[in-house]
Amino acid sequence: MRSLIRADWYRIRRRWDVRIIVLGIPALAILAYLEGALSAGNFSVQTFGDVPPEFHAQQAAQDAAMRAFYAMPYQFPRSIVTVLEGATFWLAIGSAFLAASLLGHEFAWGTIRNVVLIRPDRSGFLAVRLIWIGGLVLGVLAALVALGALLPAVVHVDPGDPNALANLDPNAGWVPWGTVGQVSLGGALLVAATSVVTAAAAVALAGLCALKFRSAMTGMLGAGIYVVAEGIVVAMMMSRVGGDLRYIPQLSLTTRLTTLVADAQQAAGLTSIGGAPTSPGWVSLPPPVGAAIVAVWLAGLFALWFVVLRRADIYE
Amino acid sequence: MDAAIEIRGLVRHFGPIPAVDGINLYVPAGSVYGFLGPNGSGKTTTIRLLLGLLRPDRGTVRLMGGSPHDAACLSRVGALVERPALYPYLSARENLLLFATLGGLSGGEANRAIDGALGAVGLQAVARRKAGGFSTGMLQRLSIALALLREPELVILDEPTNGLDPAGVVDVRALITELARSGRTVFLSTHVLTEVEQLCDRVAVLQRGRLVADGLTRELLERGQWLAIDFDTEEESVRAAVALREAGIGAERAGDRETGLRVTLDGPGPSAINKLLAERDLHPAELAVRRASLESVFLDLTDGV
Repeated sequence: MRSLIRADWYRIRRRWDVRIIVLGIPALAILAYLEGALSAGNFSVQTFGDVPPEFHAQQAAQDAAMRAFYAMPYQFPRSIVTVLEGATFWLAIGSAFLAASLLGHEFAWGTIRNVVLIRPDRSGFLAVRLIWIGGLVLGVLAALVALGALLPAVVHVDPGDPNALANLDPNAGWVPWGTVGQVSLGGALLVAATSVVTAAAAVALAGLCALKFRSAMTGMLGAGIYVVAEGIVVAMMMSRVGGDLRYIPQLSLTTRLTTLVADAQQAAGLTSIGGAPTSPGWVSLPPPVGAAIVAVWLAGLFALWFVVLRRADIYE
Repeated sequence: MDAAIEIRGLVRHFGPIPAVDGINLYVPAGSVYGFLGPNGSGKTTTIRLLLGLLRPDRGTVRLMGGSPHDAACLSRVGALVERPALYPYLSARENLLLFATLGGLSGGEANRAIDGALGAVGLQAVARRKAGGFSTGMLQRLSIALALLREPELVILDEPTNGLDPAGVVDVRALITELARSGRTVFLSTHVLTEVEQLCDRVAVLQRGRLVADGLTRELLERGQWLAIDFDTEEESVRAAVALREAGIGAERAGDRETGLRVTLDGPGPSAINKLLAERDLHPAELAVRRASLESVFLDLTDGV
């Protein structure tokens, strides 16, 4: 097993696409963070004409509240969530690409044949490859969390008086509905954990498609088409079905992931809204049940990896 | 003699079409075994089946006495299957190092194996160049090096001279001869008949997924032997043909030559035929055993496909 792990790392670390993804995602997250932080630091409430003296105190309070609000995402530990939010899309796409590329190219180059001829136990190869893909994704995520913790010290955004946040009134339309305030370190790490789950789902879907269709590009395409198609089917079912059938769309992967992320954000204190939208067909499931469904999905998809490769004829 | 490869009743369909249809094959250890067949006859499918890359519908395969799904058994086998399969972003040496590591070799042991394999195929000078920049012939050589990396007892080569220049072809044939001399079993799949004639002591011919011949190369060639008899006159030739046919020996005019006969050698030998003719006062001007080329035997066996 050690030789398998060493050999796999040898071929993975030399690939440019792997290096680009592993370094590119944190780089994009830094850029997104800097762009937001620099804008937040420049905030001031726009006024037109002279403000009457009797409103100066109200304007100052409003200024202080908005300054504190816009600076909030750039204060530790909330900054961790900010970095993750800036990189979530790229992390999901990058994870899917990593899995699709690292599995699909073995077929495109025909090297899967040589691997199988030396290691006929295909499960061992796949398990090690999965470990490395997981390791790379977790490494990128750890880098994002570390960046989120470090960047506030490098790019300081002055929040002014944090107590001014008490003057925020979502009803006045100043801030997005549902926003509550700062998050704890535990809350930030909870959000990071949901990023891991999202990335794992992307890896599982894209990897399965790459193995089944023996191509990196088809793996990405297959996973993308599945996500879009599932979303459409779920939306149709939610608007059409009633009774116990309403639970069926709740079992879908994308629905559960969206809900899981929203529930985590609510639990972390990022929002008061949570993962239960107000669509007529929506049925709320307890968060542990939702998490269990995601776990079943992931276990099933990864198990299919092994079934597909073990049963595959190697024509390459 | 121990079997390096033993195949029994191997069947594999692609859809309704039988790509391999009930093959039985016994490749003795230490032999150079030619596996012949026209394009699409099922040679590569058979090789993939015997290496465990494809699953058979029916039948069994034993490689060096073990299963092709057993790593220990496969460690005694080196294979080049059809097109080269290498990592284009790694150098020739790195590709070999990767597979050496995967096979459990490390350090000096791996380096010695890599040097030996690269030396055998003449790629030392370009060992540090990326495989993605290699020509077809260089990739083919590197693939052969990969097959030899773990010093296998059984070497399976599927069209090893594909894409090679004439010098490369000569080198590979010399390499196969050297492998045989060192006691290794070589299973050579090819449609280059001269290669088989020069290198293989045994041969099997595959046609539409079925074995149509299997045995010693010498015996296969003997199947195509015939006796060429030439007389001074056409009249003698006609009389000889009649006499031979009366004795139950097949004889026909040899091509355009009115004085020549072509006699099948599946009955009495040349001396018996000569004696029979002499008894009838027929004295050939020339009598010689002609050996058919493997090409003509092959075309005969495969219906000229």
